[in-house]
This record gives sequence, structure tokens and C-alpha cells, in this order.
Amino acid sequence: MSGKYEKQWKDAMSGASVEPSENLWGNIAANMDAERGRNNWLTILLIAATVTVAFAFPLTVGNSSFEARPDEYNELVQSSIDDNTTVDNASIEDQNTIDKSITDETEFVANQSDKENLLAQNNTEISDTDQDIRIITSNDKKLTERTAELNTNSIAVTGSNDISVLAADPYGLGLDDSGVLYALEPDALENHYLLPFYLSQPHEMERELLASLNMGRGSASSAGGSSGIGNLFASDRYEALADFGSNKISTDDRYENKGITSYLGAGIEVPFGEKLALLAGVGYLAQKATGMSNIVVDDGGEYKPVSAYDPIEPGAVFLSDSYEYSVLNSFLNIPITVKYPFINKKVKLRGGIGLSTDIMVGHKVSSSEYSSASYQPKAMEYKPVVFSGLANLDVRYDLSESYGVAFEMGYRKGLTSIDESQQYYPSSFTAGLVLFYKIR
Amino acid sequence: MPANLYESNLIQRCCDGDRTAYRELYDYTAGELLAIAIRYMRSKQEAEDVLQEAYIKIFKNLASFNRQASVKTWMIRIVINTSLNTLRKDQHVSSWDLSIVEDKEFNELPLDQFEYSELLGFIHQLPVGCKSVFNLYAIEGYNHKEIAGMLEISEGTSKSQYHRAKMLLQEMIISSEEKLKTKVI
Repeated sequence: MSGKYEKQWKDAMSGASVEPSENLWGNIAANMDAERGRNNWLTILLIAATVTVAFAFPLTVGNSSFEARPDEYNELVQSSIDDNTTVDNASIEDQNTIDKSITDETEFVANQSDKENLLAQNNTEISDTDQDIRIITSNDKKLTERTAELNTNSIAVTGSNDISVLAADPYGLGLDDSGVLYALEPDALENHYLLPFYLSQPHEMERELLASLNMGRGSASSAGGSSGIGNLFASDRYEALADFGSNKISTDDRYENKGITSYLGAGIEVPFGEKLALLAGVGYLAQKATGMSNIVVDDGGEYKPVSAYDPIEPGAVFLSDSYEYSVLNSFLNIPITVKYPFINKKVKLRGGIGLSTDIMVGHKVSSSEYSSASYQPKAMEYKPVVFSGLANLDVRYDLSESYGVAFEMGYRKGLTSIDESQQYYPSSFTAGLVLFYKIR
Repeated sequence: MPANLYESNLIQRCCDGDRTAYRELYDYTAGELLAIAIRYMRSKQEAEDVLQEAYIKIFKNLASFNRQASVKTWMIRIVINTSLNTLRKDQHVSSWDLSIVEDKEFNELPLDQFEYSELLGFIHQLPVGCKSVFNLYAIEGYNHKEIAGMLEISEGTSKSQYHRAKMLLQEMIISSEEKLKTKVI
């Protein structure tokens, strides 16, 4: 502890003042101005880098894509159609025949009452929409009306287990209250690729603003393949069921190519405890793909495109030629994550877990040949809001005292289903970049 | 206006982006901070270089300054840290004389017989390591544990260097005092 000796020195030296040189303030002011200039340029460069990455990343990460219908399944469907046994109206009324043809095929067959309802509904629906189903010739696109006849309507119930599933499952052929005929095979209902949440970064336990760009691939349906990691590589969704009678009316000939997804988000990180940090933010996810379709819907005299995922509604028109369309699904994401630092050196490594709320905000199908159309999530049996669990790992490097950049890899798994029937839980594997700015 | 209220208003104006307030804060503190920096460095020019760097840090971090504390104390701490970092970068503190120092009693010093500039001259004659420890312990009031942390040395080394500084200063002061007496006679 300081004693008398130290006090003597302290008294003698304290309170002293030395006049600085005249140019000292000028130098300080000039340095401050230069520092501001550098910060401005750094901000501009970081924004430019973000924009560049936003465009370059989808090109370099080829797997950030989604596919609606794999080729092998198309082959399967085609094969089944060729080999199918036509069940005419009389056959449908014969329950014994139906029982045999369905129960022989698969364990997925619905119970007797379901089949009765299903078939009865199917008949009714086709009857109600006879006048709306038309075929357009290939040359002049002129619409040629053609009446669908009930006694020639056919449903493929044999040929493969998969096809019997389609025929037997009420989801695949059901009608909802608004009269929409569903033609979706449940195991392949959906495979869209939710890109996750923004990334997080810890640094000296101060609050930070974050901006992130993530890309990735994943399945929205755990029923599309095995569970866990295997689900990431699940087969993509296909569309197969709008076959109202392959010989008499028309077949559904829609498919969707691989597409690109991108995610842009922003948030804030707040430290708590000695090491942990809480991150919250909001982000926008867009997934875009192109596809081919031979179906349009007559909306008050205006024909609108129907993508491979969309339901076939009354007023659907089957074309003899397919056209190209593009589809854009968009989501609002609200993630909350807790991060823990494993390595806290110059290069930092952190792991995180959290929750994300994903809100579907749009589903738009466009075609140069037809007007654009938007579908509400409810009409597609989507839940407008789902919740997902998040796990991620990021590596961060500080560019300066205020700015840093991080690379993050993450996995997300749906905690709630995306469909009303509660069968499908989205999952995705992602990678992305995060820029952060420390709040002073 | 009380000093702390004046300081508080000044800080607020700086945080609001008032550039004249930056200059006012500089005028309010520069003389005192320069005197401190000079004690650590070898010349006024070196001390001004340190002060320039310190003020840039101060202005950049002013928004995070805890208003409950004294702004001058906070600024002094930044100046001292910047001085020590500069000395470390220049490797002035790269080697420490760990020679055994004889434990002896120091007599009460007749410091009031010397001008400020003379006392500063004595301090400047100390080896860099001794000078830093002496300034930190005797004048700034840090303890040896804190000094050890600041200079990245052991607590024992800090004590040893301080003892050596006291011994050297004692010799300088006695010698100077004798010269003074001789002149008077």
C-alpha cells in the first residue's frame, strides 16, 4: 500500500499541466476524419460484398435447390399408367372388385368407408366439372371442349404399390369443402427448401447488429424419406394424380426443375451470463424454380398457370402442349437462438440452438404465356405458420474493431407440421455468411 | 457549474455529435494528460504521439463511457495504457533488470526543494521498466498486482523494479541536494 514516501511524490507531481504543441489538435482532428472516411468505405464495401455474395452464392453452391419431381418417379408413373387396369364406373360400384384390387397392392390402403367416400366423391366431382374440362390442341392453342364421361373415367389401382397408394389415400384424391380436388401423393407432398435464419456472432460479449445471407437444401417433408439426416436427401416431391382417365380426358403432365433458394436476414445479439448470447432477428426467404405444366385454370375468362405443386381446381384446362412456368415461394422467418463459444480466440467457433417461426407470405406462379397467379397457403393445405428447431455452428473472423464476418452451417427441423394432416415436418441443411456490426 | 456536471454535459454534447464539444474536451484535459504521458515517455514529442492516439480512442469510445465514473480518471487510464503499449511495442520494456535489490530504509525526501521539472528529470533518468512501475505505483496509486497485470510481469518483478526505482531516485536526489548545498556555501 502507498505510504508517506509515495504521498510525497504524488503531491509533488499531481496537478501538473504541460501545454501541448499547436498542431496536436489538428493532427487528432485529421485522424478522426480519416477514421470516419475509412469506416464509411468499409461499410460500403461490406454492403457491396453482401450483394455480391447474394448473387454469387447460389451459383457456387449448386445444392441450394429444390426439385419437385424426380425422373425416376416420372418413369414409375408412366409405367403404371401403361399397365393399369381401368376401373370403370360399374367397377367402382362393385365394392368387392375395388377391395381386391386395392388391398392386394399395399399396406397403405384406406379402410372401406374411406374408399367408398373417396370414390363417391371422385365421381361426384368429375360429374360436377364435366363442362369445365377441355383440351387445347397443340397447333393453334384453340380450346376444344370435350366432355368427360363418367362411365369412362378410370383410376389406376394396379401396376405398382405406389399407384395403389395414390388411389387409396383420401388425401391423394380427396375434395375439400370448397370443392378442390386434391391430386397429391402424400409421401411426396412437398419438398421445398426452407433456408434458415440469420447467423449469430459473439464478440467480447457486446451487443451487435447482424445481417446474414444463408443458402441451403432440405426437405420440407419428413415423410419423403427417412428420418433425421437421411431426410435431407429424401426424394423430392412429385405430382402424379391428376389422371382423370388417361385415355378419355387428359393426363397431368407437370414437373418442376431444381431451383434456387436464398435467405436474407437481420437481427441483434445480446449477451447474457458469462458466455452465452441470445440472438433474435427476422428474415426473408425466397425459393424460386421453373417447371413445365400442361394445366391452366380458367379464372373468369383469363387463363392462369398451375404449377406442379398446385391443386387442380374446377375450371382446370388440360393442354395438349406443356408450357414453362416459374414459381416463387416466400416466407417470413423469425428466429431466436442461444449461442455458446467453444473457441474464443482470433478466430471464434460457436455452437447454437434455437427456435424459428416461419410464416408463408406468398406462393406465386408465373408464365410468359399466361397471366400470373397467386395461391393462398390454405388452398394448398399448408399451414401458414410453422415452428422449427435450429442447431448451428459458426466460425467468425473480426475484420476490425466494429465489423466482422462469419460462416455458419446449420440444421433445422420442423417441430410442428407444415400440413393440416400433421404428417410432414420440414428439415433443411444450410450454409451462409453473416456480417455483424458492434453497437457502441 | 460543478466540474462533474460540466464534464457530464460535455460528454453528452460529444455523444450528440457536436464537434465543438470534442475540441472543448480536448482543451479541458490535454495539458494534464500530456503531463502524465511525458512521465512515461522519453520526450514531449513521444508523449504527444501517445496523446494523439489516446484521444482518438477516447473519442471513438466516448459513447460507451460509464457516466457514473469520472471522465478524467477514465481518460488518464487510456493515456497510461496507450503509453505502456507504445513502450511495449518499441520494446523498451522487453527486458527487465531482475538484479537483487538491497532492502534499505528510505529517508523522508526533501522534494519540496525541487521544481516540478527537476523531479520529472529524475524520473526520466530511471530505466524504462523502473520508471513505469514507479509512475504507476507511487503517483497513479496502482498496487503491484494491478501493475503486474498492466505490464504483463510478475508481482515480484513489479516490487523489485519499484524498490530499485526508489533507490536510484534517492541517490539522484541526495546527489542533487549536495550540489545545491555546495552552491549555496
